[in-house]
Amino acid sequence: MDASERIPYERYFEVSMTPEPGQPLHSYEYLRRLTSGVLDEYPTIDAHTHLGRDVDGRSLSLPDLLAELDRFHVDRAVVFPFNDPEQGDDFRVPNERVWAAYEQAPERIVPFMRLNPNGPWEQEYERCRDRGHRGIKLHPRAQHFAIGSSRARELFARAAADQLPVIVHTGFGVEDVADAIGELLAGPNGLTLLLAHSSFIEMNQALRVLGPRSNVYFETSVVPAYDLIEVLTTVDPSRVIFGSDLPYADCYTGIQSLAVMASFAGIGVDRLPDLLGGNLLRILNRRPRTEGSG
Amino acid sequence: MTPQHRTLLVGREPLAVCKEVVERGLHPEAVDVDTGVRVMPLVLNDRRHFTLWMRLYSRTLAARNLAFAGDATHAQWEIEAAIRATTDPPCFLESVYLDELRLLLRSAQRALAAGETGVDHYGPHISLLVAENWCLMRLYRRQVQIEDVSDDIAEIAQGRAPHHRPD
Repeated sequence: MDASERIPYERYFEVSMTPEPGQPLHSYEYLRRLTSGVLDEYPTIDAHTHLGRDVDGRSLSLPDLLAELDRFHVDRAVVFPFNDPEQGDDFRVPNERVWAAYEQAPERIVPFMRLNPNGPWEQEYERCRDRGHRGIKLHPRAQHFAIGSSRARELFARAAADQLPVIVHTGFGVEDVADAIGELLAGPNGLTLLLAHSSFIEMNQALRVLGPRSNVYFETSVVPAYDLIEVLTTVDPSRVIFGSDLPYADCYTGIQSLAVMASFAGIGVDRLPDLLGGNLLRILNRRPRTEGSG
Repeated sequence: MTPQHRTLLVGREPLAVCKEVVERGLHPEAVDVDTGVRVMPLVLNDRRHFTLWMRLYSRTLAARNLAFAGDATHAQWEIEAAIRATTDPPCFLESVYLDELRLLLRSAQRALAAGETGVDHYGPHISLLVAENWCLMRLYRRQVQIEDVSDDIAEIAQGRAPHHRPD
């Protein structure tokens, strides 16, 4: 067919992305259609959810978290504390809350500890690591530290030594971090880093420095669409992972925006199982070293 | 270039109408839809599509910035203006997407009304960012180009373009 005669339907709609009769856009049934059934056939794992309550007044209970996961058939979720008003110096109280949730729903919850590099984090780190927390959440803005600070680097080094993945907030309220993270990852240190929100004020530099690093993963919760398309067209799909940022956003939004933007970026539906859970599952399946293990 | 002659289709379900457009080889910009309530174009042309979604994006972005600045009153004005702009769809196909955007805007509206008006409140920021993304995704839709045009038109439009085909 002559290209000039071809009607560019995809610029207006795709039938596979158009809801069926009576099907609300904001529904699991629509997401299943949007992802060509991937949600039914492969595990979906949310890399970014909070439990407990935040200093800003938001909160999420375990029953509400599980209800949201059930609503959109999300199999498991990485769960960590909010910027909790009871965090104290070491987040012990909110970390306990997350662990208690894990004990109630071990097949659904992947517990991550939250730490403050500026506080006495070592004891809490070891307590959580030895009990079975599967990773660490760090938030440079909320806990007022720089990723390249000496205290933070100590914590990253411990996590690398113990093979615990670290999810670190990027984007809103955080200064340029690409070079600091690049320096952090220099050399064979084994750190697995998940960049929450995949957003940077220095996007091009971040993708140049961090895009090629095989141990850096780009988590996609509430990332601006213009940043998400950059990530999806630059970074190998094996290093992009779905997150929701519950309860601030929801699983629907995370899955819908990732599926639509992946399509726009030319990523095939055959890669969606990796983006929606497979990539994260491979990270979580690496067993961390604990006290006494080899 | 779009055809000069317009075709009137009757229907209320977007999926059925889109399928008929593809099956009959009609250009989307040359189709009107009679929903039984009103007759309207299936889609907008590029200029009107851009204007619609840029207006909504700008309102939403303004609301988020105002909320950040602690100016909840003016943020609510912008949200209300955006909601108003979603309630009278100028074409058939965008109406479902405008409905969803309205839900997102109402979520931000509720959060601000509930007192989440400080710079440390993350909720309205997220609701409005998600709403912005919704607008941007509609704008990106017009940028999509399938480079391989050797496949059958209907196959591409039905979401089975080469990059969508599972192995």
